[in-house]
Amino acid sequence: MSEVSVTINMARLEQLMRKIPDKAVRILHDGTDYGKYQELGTTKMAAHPFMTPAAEAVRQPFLDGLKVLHNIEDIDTFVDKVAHDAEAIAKSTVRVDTGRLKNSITVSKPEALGL
Amino acid sequence: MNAVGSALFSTLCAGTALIAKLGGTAIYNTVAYQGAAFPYVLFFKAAGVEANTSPRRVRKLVYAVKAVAQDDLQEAGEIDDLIDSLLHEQTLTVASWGTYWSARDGDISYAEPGEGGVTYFHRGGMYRVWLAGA
Repeated sequence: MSEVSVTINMARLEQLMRKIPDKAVRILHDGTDYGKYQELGTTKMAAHPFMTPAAEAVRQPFLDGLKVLHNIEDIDTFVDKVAHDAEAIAKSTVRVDTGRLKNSITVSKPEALGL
Repeated sequence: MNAVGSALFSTLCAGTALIAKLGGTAIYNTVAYQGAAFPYVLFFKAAGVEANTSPRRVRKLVYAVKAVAQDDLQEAGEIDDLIDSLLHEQTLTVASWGTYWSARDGDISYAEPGEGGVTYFHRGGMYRVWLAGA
């Protein structure tokens, strides 16, 4: 019969748990009232999606990245990076007239948007 | 990817309840013609990526499919329900491709103010379509 002795370092465990964020959320959004019309179209104009292609482009890299993320405390940084990758894609995809829509595309934490 | 558009059009046209509700095949790809009568259904490709995970070609597409109604939110919602019954977890027959998954992934819901106090209601969904090489 073999025995295994396990010692839990509660201080270290609590220290690690404090570093793990409750949730890692970023919201990619624009700051105009007409972004949704560009994304989804109107009765007068065809859609020119820029957010959906950005989200789709980072979907698989995000899932792949989660699998190789070694430290759970890095999840917030990882989510932030993916969101900013999506932001770059959205900005390179969106149609530019005055640049107001493009310049308004940004990544925010939910609390910054009152969510 | 014109084949997917054709498949969506055929599938929607085969929905007798939808066609009856629209009063004909008022279903358009990408943009409705100017002066098209309301309500109508509009669909367009919103995104598309290659999986590139195996030698077999796999494409992951997202299509927006929505009802557009004039001053009638209820009608737009009813048409959206009919679209959903035709496309969510249903098989599309796409020429030269094997479709192995299609499902609604999110909702579309917004109002568009028009001239003269008219409001156009857009109701529909984002549909994910996975295509595999036949």
